[in-house]
Amino acid sequence: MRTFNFSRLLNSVREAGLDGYMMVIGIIIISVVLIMAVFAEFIAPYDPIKTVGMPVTPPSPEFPWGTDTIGRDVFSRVVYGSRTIMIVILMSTALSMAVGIPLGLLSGYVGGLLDRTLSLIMDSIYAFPGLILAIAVAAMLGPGIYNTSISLAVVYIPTYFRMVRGQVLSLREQLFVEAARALGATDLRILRKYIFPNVFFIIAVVFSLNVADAILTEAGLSFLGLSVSAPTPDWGFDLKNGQRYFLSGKWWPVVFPGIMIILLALGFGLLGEGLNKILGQKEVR
Amino acid sequence: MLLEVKDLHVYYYTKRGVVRAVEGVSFQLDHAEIMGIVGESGSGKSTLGLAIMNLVPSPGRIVKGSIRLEGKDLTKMSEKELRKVRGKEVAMVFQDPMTSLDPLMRIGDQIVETILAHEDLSKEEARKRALELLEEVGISKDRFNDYPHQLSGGMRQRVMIAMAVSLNPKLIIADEPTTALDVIVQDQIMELFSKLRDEFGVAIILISHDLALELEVSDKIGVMYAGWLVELSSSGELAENPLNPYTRELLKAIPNVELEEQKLVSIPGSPPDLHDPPHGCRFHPRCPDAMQVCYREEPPTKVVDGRLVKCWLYGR
Amino acid sequence: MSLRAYIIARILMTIPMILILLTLVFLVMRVLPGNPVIAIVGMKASPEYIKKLEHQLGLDKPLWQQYIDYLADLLRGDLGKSMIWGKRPVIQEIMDHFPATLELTIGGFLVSVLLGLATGMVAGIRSGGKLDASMRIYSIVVYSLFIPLLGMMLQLVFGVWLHLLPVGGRIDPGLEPPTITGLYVLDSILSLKMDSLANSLAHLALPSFTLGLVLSGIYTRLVRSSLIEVLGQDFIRACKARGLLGRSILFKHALKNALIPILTMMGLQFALLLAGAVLTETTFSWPGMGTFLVERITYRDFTTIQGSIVFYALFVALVSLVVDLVYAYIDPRIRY
Repeated sequence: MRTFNFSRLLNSVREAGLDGYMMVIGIIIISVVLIMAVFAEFIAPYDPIKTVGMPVTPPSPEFPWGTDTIGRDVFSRVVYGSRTIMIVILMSTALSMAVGIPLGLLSGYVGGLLDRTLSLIMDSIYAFPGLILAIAVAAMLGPGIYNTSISLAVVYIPTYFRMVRGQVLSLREQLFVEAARALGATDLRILRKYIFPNVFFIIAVVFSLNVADAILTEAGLSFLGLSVSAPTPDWGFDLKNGQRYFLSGKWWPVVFPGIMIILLALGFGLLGEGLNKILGQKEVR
Repeated sequence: MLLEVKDLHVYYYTKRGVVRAVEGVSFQLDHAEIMGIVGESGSGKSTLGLAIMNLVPSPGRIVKGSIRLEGKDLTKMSEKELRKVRGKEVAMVFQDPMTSLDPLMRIGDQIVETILAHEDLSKEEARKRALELLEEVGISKDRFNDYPHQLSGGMRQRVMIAMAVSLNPKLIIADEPTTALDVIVQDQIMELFSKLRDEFGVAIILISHDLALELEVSDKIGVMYAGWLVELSSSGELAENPLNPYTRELLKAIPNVELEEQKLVSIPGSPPDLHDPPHGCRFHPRCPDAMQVCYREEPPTKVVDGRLVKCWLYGR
Repeated sequence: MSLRAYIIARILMTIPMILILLTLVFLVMRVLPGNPVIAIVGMKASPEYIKKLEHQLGLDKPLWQQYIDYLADLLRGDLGKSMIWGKRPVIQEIMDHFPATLELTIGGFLVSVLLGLATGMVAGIRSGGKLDASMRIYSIVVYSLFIPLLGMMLQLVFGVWLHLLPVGGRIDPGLEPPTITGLYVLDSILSLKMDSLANSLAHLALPSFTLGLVLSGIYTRLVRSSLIEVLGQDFIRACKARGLLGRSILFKHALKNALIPILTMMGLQFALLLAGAVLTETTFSWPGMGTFLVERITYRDFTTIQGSIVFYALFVALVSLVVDLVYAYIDPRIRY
């Protein structure tokens, strides 16, 4: 297993050119949003769920991003909204990984009937439109941070499953596993020592691209009013709230949360793209 | 004279450095002549074939030398002029007939397309010609509407050949045309080449790693090693009295059918990495006759009894 | 195996997929924690009323019995009756809204394929160059565009500022063509009503563009990588050696071969279109399945929600079947 080497990584960023810069921009965007989420209390000038001014006041020194339809500070809501989306995304991703990765490892390694059954089930879920599946689960579970996380997790389990299973299948055929088995290594040891480290790099890539997608799905659910319940600040829902004023020129309640959704999804997308190329050249082959 | 290649240099500019795939190659070819080009893989023989059509793939480039087809220099032609030469005057048959045909197009249509790209015929006339050509190369007319995957390897190669002769070219370059085929089919294809030469007077450059095969059909043979043309002479003389030690080794490696024990002799060592070829003569690390000078200096190309040889054995 | 045998085998293969999807829907609708009835009527309803409703929906039966009933009803094409609005059969309600969604997805599909082909071909032909890099960035950026925000921006620019296009709905009232297929564009053509055609196309423009632009990035990538692979193949070199025109090599040979692997991905792309259509419809007040489903969720119309999801599942399975059959028909090599 290779050890993590920071200066080598830095070098490969420079070498990778466009890919390297995409990755760095992605990391910067994600870091900014993470900082907003963690230090929301210190960054936001107002309480995000309190009416602090007149409704739909344009941006001004008092309210840098204006106020929303019931006079809450848009900037404060966007800052706190980053916390909502980050929590939902992290919980749902952890959940999909916790289910998808072990199942994928098992399915790929054991093979046979179990593999065929699991694959068929996962492929069927994968083929179903993600947002619509999330809508169905969310509609049944009702609003809330935990329920939204579950709705999203269901959608992304097959992605992790398929990726891990595919990797295990190809690695299993490779000589070093054959060799390890010939030396009498136990199955569990082979999984842990040889297969998992190799799969790890690909998980990093799939994770980033998947999170980019999950952000858009969460924002979509929330735009449809099926995510967390009011008055929790949530970008998609805030955007929806501002929609009816938007065409009369009152753009700020819509544009700021909308831009944040796009930026955050873009951040993870860029990170995944960059990682894919850089790790793809260096480690995964 | 049909073709005159003079001091041809083809380099590939890769990330790892410059690969000198063809260096200083010169030869001449007459109408209706069959010339063999023989060498191990990586000797630059395929690159040479592509270079004659000015089709060297990127990052490769013809950096020096000329290729004159009946006096016109192909290296100085525009892409538009080249298109009129390719297929029409010089045609090419590739090694793998499976991958050299468009898998999604009926074979007949592919021949028709080639004809129509060069001649002002109606679709019907082109179709008639294509059918005749198929017959000529020994494929029945009702295969016209088949897709490539429906044909055997040998039949696909016949289609490639039909396509190559469809416009009565003066020269056909065949790059390992039988390597992917079994022995019986190989003989049939070679016979077909001889027949085409006899009937249509087409000249053929036959590129192969198989010296025995070349000796059977070629009038003359050029031997390539690591980008150099190390010997060029008539097939008879080459077989009787090889001048270059490398040619001698190649001849030794031909399995002798008359001998009881069929053991495959191969030349010891492996061809050099052309990113960083050996200093002096490129063959010296594997040469049984290597001398002091071979380590230091590139050998000159000498004419010995009307034959070309690039080796220190024949002096400065 | 002949083409016919392949078709039959492929149709049979769809059955397990449909069963799994239907089971999944059943699990989501009935087994997930949370009582659908309480979800419908709220916590404060009287126990008697909840009992009555449970009985009415068959929720008081054992789970396996519910599952059998569910499948049996589906087999008869019965999706149940809506719990509101005069209790119309769910299938009828779906049929009222589905053509709108189909029209939007077809529009979005065309836009995404056209944009994707153009950008992907540019990137593939110039692979490694500056244009290639720009197209890569294009594909990442458009995929991140959040449909509602993009839609609203387009409404603002083309609807409010430029007064070029309508900002919502499918057609102006009174201009609806006679219902033949339910697709307004097609019906207008069939009934030769040019004003309806122009009007429905104008309404379709912004939603289709929104949906298509966002999904076009995926095609950019697919076309690019597929084209690069094909351009590196021997037969392209052989085409050049035959003196064919560069243009005809690209369009007649390279592109055709490059599109085959993309076709196999079309089923999954369609799922993305359907998902994107939900957001597009909501943004543009487009009266399709998406708006309908979301509306019924707010009314807690349990049977309609279940029926719509089942319908989506069946439709997805059907599309993936059709894609595979078209693929088998187009690619002469595929005969399992």
